[in-house]
Amino acid sequence: MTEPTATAPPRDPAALHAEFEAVWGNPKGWRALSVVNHTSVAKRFMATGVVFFLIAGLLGMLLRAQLAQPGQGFMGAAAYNQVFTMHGTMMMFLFAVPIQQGLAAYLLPKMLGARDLAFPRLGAFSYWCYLFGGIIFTSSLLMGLAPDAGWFMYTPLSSNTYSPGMGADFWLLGITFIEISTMAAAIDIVVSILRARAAGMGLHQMPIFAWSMLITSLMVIVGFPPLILGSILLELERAAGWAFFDPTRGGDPLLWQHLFWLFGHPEVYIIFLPAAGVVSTLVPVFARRALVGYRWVVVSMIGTGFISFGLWVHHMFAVGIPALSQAFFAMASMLVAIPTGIQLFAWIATLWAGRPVWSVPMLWVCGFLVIFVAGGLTGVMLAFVPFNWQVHDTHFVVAHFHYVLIGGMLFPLIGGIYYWLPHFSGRMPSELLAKTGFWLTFIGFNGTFLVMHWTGLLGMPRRVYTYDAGLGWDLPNLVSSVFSFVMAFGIATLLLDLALHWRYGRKAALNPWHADTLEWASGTPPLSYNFASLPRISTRHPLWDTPDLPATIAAGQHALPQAAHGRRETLGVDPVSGRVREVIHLPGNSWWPLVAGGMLALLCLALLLKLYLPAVAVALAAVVVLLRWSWENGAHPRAAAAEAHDLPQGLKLHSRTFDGPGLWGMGLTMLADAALYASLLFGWLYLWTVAPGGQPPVDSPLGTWPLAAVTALFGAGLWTLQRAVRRLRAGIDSGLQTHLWWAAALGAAGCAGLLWLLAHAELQPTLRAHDAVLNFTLLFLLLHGALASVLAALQALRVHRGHVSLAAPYEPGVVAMVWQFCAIATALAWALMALLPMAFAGPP
Amino acid sequence: MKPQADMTGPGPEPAATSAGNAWPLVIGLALWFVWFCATYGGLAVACAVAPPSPALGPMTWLNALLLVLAAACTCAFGLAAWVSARASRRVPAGAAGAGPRFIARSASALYATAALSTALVALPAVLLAPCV
Repeated sequence: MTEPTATAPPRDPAALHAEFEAVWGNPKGWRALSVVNHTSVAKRFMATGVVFFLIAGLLGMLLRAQLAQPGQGFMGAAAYNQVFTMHGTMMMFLFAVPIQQGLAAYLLPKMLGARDLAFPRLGAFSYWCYLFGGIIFTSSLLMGLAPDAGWFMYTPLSSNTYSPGMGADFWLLGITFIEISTMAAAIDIVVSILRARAAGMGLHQMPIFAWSMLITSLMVIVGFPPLILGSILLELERAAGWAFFDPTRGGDPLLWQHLFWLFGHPEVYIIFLPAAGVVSTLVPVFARRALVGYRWVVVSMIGTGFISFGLWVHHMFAVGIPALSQAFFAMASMLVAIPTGIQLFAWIATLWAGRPVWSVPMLWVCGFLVIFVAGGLTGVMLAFVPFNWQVHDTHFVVAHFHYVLIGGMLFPLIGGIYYWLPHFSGRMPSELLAKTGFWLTFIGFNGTFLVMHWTGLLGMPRRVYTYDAGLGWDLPNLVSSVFSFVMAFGIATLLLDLALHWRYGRKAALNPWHADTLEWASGTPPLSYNFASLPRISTRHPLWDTPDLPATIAAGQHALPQAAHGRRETLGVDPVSGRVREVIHLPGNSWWPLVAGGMLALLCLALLLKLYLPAVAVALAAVVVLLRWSWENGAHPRAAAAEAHDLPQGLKLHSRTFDGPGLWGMGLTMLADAALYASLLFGWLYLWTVAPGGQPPVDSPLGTWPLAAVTALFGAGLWTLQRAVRRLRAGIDSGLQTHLWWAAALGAAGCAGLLWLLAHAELQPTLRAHDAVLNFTLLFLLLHGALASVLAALQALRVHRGHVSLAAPYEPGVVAMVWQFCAIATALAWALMALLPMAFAGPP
Repeated sequence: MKPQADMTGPGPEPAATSAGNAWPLVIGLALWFVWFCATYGGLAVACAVAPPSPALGPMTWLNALLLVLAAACTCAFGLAAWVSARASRRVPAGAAGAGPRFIARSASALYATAALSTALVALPAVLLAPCV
């Protein structure tokens, strides 16, 4: 196989542009809703994120207005509880993560030398879920039905007893819906980074922002499922009365805290690492030299990503855990400061060794360095258990995490927005407004939250809507409130700057900051297809090392310089070396993402309104829509032509190989599924071993053999499917359809076995947490078994229609992953829930 | 239409070494997390099932078990770091070996991070009673 290099004769850039625009250009009018192009979808993500940020920011201002003076009657306790819950939740779930994913979705294909993300339709689906989920969640505020149990929704406060009404349901269902969006975007980003890069761009040459988003997105994929599981279980407890967190029925409220913080602490780094990637991108450009310690920064980010999963209990130091366990988490909490410190030193060293140019983006980076270091230091203080106990649930903690989150995320993000602003709009911001906005925000922020440390040290608890005069809290609260308005003016100033620059900003040059990364070769503002030809990249600094790259790209002198065939194409590469493996054909505009997102929104609303029968109908309709969407993939004529004779020598379309982005997408989906299932098994073992009264009976209600039989059926289905894949690889497609039908039948038999168990096991999920977990596990397995069976049957139909064959052998291997998960999950359930209690459990 | 571009010769091949595989970047700290959960979970279960007497302080079978496991894991991670560092030195110099060398050196640092993290996190078991 040969690889693309820059040897083709140049073409007329205008003609080339017209050819590409015909394939990649966005439709106008109402058809714009069907757009899947990553640039357009990412802009929508970011704009929506800004709107939610403003709403959440206004809620924060209301909080400060209420606390400005003792005994203030501006808000009552009920309203205050709703406002702080919505402020925190919206900032975390509707702003901080989605807007960074939006920025990543916008930048990554351009930085990596690709024409789009690997799954453009998934990206669009992710956006619609985010938008609809955000609207549903935010609407609770307008109706006075907002959740009021805090952004962490601790049980029993969030249970039916103490939070009747729909508030908690809005949180649990709305946030789970939004998390679908976050997970989908994360999967899209990981696969795009690993598989859709420029030819030759090895892992060691990737832009540092891509590394940060790769690690962050993997953290999302593993870190969000525990909360998704917790939310489902809590909603089941609230809606159906199943016992998971109720100690009177064998549950444990601390299980919720474990599940929440298993997500919640990595979340802090999920928010920080992309921002660190932005800083690592900006600092070298303005220091005019390469990043010092590129490899150490990568190692630090990977280290941070992993260690952040070992800190979750430091949010639970006050719940009564043995001192030795607390010490483990205290040590891990201190350890995580080391990799963060390494990054900090790398930035300082880069500035020290370079010839820094001070510009607006660098102001925000410097603000970040000051604020984040302070937040990091109070974080280390909080890792000490005795100090943690002293300031637990006080305003000191509020001040700390605002230093970490605003300093660690908002400042770099705004720096990044200013840096890439010429890329978004083709215009430069106003220096005066930008600098005024920065200083107002910086001074306002520190005036608000530095002082809040003192308020906390003076003992003021958080989440109280008012306080008495004379406790020493009056003055610091007033100062915090006044400066919070200064900060608000700063944000307003920069919004004004952003708004005005679209019309009055001077035109930007192609690469106004003299940056080194490839996104600046895609046009300011960018072209719909990013690059007219895809260059070979063998350096970390393509635009520094090859300044004429934008011109040769536009002249079509690199790979895949044509679009007359009508396909949207980009190169598929080896994840490590960047060697080209195939041509990925990308799907075009489609209504399916919008329709699927809309169906899930309807499902969310039906569940909120407790219309369960309509909810079942909508869920089934959503499944049909999703399957219909999947039908147009692969070798379907709407996805790609049957034959492509115009590819570079030795390369095939990915659907004609055994490789391709879908394989990776499914693998990551199963990784997320495995994280959710592992959290469920953790919950089972936790309730069994630690929760009072949670011990299961010696004789499992599931019996010994029924689950073994189901495992055998799913295992046989897996074996059948894998045999079909092996035969395809060997060049044999006879009997392919029969194999797939057999797999579907075996899966259906396994599902029947699970249904029989559900009907005959006499589980009482409303009476015992033990039974509730078993019931949920059986339903989880049933859902997966049914999905695996339907997908196998669908594959058989696709063989019948000619969409899967020896010439297009890609899909059965993707479906086999679902079967692997299904078989392994069932085997684990049998071992842990049917066999293990026989050995260790006591009498009921 | 045959493509106009691209057809002139392969790019640099990755060196044929195990360091060309990216898994070492994640295995060390993933196993560290497994060890961490096993230690925390095992301690909780042991304290629920057979708690040692608080009067013994840290001189209990449970602390000993935790420390032995931690020492074994630290040694294993340290060994992996050393092996990765050696592998990085065997990668041929030049652009063709840059990728595998990057992976091997990064893996070595990450294994060392796992070793250090294991040793430091387990250290309190020397001083504290397990179930108090």
